[in-house]
Amino acid sequence: MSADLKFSGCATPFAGPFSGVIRAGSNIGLTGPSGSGKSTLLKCFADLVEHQGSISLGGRQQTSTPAAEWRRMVRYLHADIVWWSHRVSDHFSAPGRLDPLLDDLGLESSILDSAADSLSTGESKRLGLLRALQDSPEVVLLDEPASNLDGDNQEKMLNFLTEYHRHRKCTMVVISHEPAWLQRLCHSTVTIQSLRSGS
Amino acid sequence: MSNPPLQFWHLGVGALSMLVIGVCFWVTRLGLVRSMAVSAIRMCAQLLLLGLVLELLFEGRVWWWTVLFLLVMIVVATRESTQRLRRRLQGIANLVVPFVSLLAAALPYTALLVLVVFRPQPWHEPSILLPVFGMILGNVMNTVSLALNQFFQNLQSGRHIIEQRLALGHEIAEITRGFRVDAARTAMLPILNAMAVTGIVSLPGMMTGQILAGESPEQAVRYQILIWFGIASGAGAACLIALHMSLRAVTDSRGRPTRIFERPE
Repeated sequence: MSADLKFSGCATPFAGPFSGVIRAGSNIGLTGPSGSGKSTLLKCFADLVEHQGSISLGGRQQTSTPAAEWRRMVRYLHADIVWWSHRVSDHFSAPGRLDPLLDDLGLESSILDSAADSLSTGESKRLGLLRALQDSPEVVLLDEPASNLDGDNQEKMLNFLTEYHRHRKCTMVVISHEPAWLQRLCHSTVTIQSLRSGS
Repeated sequence: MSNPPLQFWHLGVGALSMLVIGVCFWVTRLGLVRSMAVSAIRMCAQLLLLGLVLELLFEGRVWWWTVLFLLVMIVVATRESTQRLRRRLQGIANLVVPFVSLLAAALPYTALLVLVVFRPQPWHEPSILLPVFGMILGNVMNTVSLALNQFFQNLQSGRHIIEQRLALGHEIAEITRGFRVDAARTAMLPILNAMAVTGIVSLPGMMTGQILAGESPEQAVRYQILIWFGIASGAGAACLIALHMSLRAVTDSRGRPTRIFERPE
């Protein structure tokens, strides 16, 4: 079970300051024009960019929690996925347990044996999601998880994320440029015009 | 056997061969003519000046003159080791990392060779201390330069991998291990290659010099083996220190890369 994610006075040289609370177990959509600071905001939550202000999960402050531990609790998934080992399965701690999840996302289990650089953009996207979720983070921050997917796979992604959230009861924040898709996935949607400094 | 003293016109013969190659490069438009000319003039000026300074140092045998000269060598090597990098550290770290690496690697191995093996009287005998230090420092400087260049390039080309693995909760030391292994291999390769073929493909400069000066080949070989161990150990130590320090310098307290990507002018 996750805890409230609180942020106060968060600012980077390019965005903020911003403050607020994301309630435990909520499922929030984030939309807005490109360059408005949505990804930067989520990267602050995930401790991937240097920022001012404070962020806490439950009673735990980001700065007083070891960085790797924090990022295992608060997981950010990039919009473009990269791979570092030759085989896809090398990126998973327990590739044998992925079969049902692969099926839910419209992927064959044999894809785990393929070379990472042979994946299509859509395959890479879906496998990247599984890679990010494999150790069940408390907070899941997804940056355009459905971009570059065809209609059928967007639908599979939607069903997968809906079921995942319902089953795991994690906190989820999803960025998307497709409001209709986002509204079907999330309990509420926030539109950001600009988080850029000075705006 | 003693060698005839060299006159300036002897050096002119050597310069002529370089001039011919320079003309060939210019005619075939391969470029580098200006760099060749500058490097050749710089080399002549530096060595002639060095000759004068060494004469003074050898005659004076004042310990702090020798130490001062060692310091100048390290400062120049520090600057040169980062001068031609495609990417550099920002700020003072660009000097501190190579300086500490060079100092911490070259000095102990020089001290070991000079104080344990050569045992000159006095300990700061410049005719022993300076050549030994120079041989180790020159090789160590190249190693540091190659290691940093490759490591920074790896960090730049792997920046997306770094960020995505950080996001997955991996530690920066673990993420960059492959980058450091690759950088160390690149940096140590010239020395390992040279050691592997020494005596077969090439005769090392110090050994050749000793033989030309009348030393027995067997003794010259022993000295050369010792120097090779000093060079290889110093280079390995410098490589380890430079890579460790530069990783610290390019990441913040949360393991995020912050200051890698300044491009030199």
